[in-house]
Amino acid sequence: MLKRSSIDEQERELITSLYPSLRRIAAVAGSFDIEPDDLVQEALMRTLRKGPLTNLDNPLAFLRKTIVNLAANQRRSLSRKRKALRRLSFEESKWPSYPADIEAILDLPPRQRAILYLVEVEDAPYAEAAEQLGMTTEAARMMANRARKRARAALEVAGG
Amino acid sequence: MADFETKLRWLSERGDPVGAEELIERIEADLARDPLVVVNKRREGTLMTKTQQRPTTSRPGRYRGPAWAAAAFVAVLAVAGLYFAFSGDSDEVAHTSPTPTTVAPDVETLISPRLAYELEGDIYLADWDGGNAVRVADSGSDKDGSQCGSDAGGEGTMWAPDGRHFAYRSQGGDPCLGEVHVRDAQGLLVASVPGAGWDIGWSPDSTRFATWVELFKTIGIYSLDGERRALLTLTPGCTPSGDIDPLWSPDGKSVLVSPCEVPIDGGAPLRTPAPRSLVRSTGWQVSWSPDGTRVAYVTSTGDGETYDSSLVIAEASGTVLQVFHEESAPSPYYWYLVWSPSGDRVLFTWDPRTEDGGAFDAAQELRQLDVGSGQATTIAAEPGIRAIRFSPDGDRILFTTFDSSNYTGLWSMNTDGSDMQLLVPDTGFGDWQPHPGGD
Repeated sequence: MLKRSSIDEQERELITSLYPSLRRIAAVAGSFDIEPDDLVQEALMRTLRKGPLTNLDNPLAFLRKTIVNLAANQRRSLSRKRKALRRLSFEESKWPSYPADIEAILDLPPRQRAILYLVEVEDAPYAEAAEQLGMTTEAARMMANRARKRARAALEVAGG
Repeated sequence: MADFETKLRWLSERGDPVGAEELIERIEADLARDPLVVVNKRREGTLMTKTQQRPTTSRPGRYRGPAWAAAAFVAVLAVAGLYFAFSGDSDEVAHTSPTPTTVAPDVETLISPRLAYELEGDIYLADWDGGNAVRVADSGSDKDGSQCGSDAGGEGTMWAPDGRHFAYRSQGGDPCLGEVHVRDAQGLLVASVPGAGWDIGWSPDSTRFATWVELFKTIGIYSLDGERRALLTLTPGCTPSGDIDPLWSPDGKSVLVSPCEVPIDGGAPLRTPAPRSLVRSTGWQVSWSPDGTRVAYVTSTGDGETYDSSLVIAEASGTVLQVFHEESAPSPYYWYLVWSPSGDRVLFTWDPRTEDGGAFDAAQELRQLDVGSGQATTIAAEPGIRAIRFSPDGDRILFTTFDSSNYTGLWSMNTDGSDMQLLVPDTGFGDWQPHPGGD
């Protein structure tokens, strides 16, 4: 075992090059009241705890998968916290606001938001998106289909 | 999708980025306060170097356990007559095969189950082992809704219980929300109806099927000619919490949409009592025995972060007969329940979830539960393995697996895990006809 208290130069360069991509997926997958940078930081810390970033075969994919998993876990935790806070009479207005038409997207689970983002915005092939989310290509395709159906249904409800 | 794209792009750029430099400073500050103890060991994970064991491939020459062949020998002449009478009589059948074969039809292939499957968005009918494949639905034609730019496919099983028809989905229809297509055992198109969802909801008597018409709001009950016999509307409180399809009750009088049971006759949906209310009514996690007297389902309890799962065998009345549960951490999960034709065994995927929560990363196991003894045995261990159906005699299993990027194909093996054979590569959506000679 070894102890480490700093990031070496190679890792520094790697983080710098990956940061924009990591932050974007964190912003998409994370709950609206979580700072995307906090998710990226947590994912990096957890990964560093397991070994040097440079040991990873595909650090972007590994870190993005970790970010999405963290987002999913935090969404569950936040859901419980929100319920508890509501019981304590916290006002809804204390929570960050967002455009009304974005709600249909935010209602999707983090992994579904992430797969839609990767495929629709980054134009990633399903195989690549699947790798970044830790699933099979077929599972990614199915999840994207589900996300589209669910978002369409939500948009129809929102639109009356 | 342009609308989705705009919203997603906006979402991805929300907030004020701190920048890579500040992030690194934060991490180094954390490291200075709390140095990491790093195990000097290369971590095994999906995205790191990993050697995956693949099933050994041996192309079958013929079916190795033809119990139905001997039993049904008397019927051979009649079946053969039907076979030759119907083969190649469809003007919409394109005679191209993804797995060309020169094996001529023989006694075994004539009375063994047909294999229906999807490959690259097209639908094929083949012998039980993938031989003599004929494309019966072409995603390049307009007949199956390809104007919406989507291939045919689906999830779960395809064949009706009596083996006379099979069905699959496409994303056609207006406005491209989905369609269900039904074909007979010769591959002829019988009906196309609008419908959204994933699995095909065949009624127990094979005369009807159920599908979402409007996702999570209305359910259409259709007869085989495509006529809608009922439109069921979910009431508030009955909206399912996941991506699930209507599941028929064994008596065919209602469909289950957890947490409610919706009568086909138009009666008001009722919230179901335990244990049905525990069941997530997806074909992955609940399965009725072939005679409809028992049900296998998965229950899961937990606080949202951790969970504890059990596989339950119960009478149709709800009386629990067996609870299969393993004490381990993390708790394994059970998926893809498949009954044997005689109801004496249940196949399931044993999924030991990874620490990252990825169900598809782990080396999963296909296990067989002996309903009488309550003992489960591992048949095969492959990433993403799941059973699709037993052969009609219960001696072989149709299954699929995932590799790191896709389905490896449709496979077959004996119920003890021996004689593993690849039937069709590069697809995971296919099904054996439950009763050979149903056509």
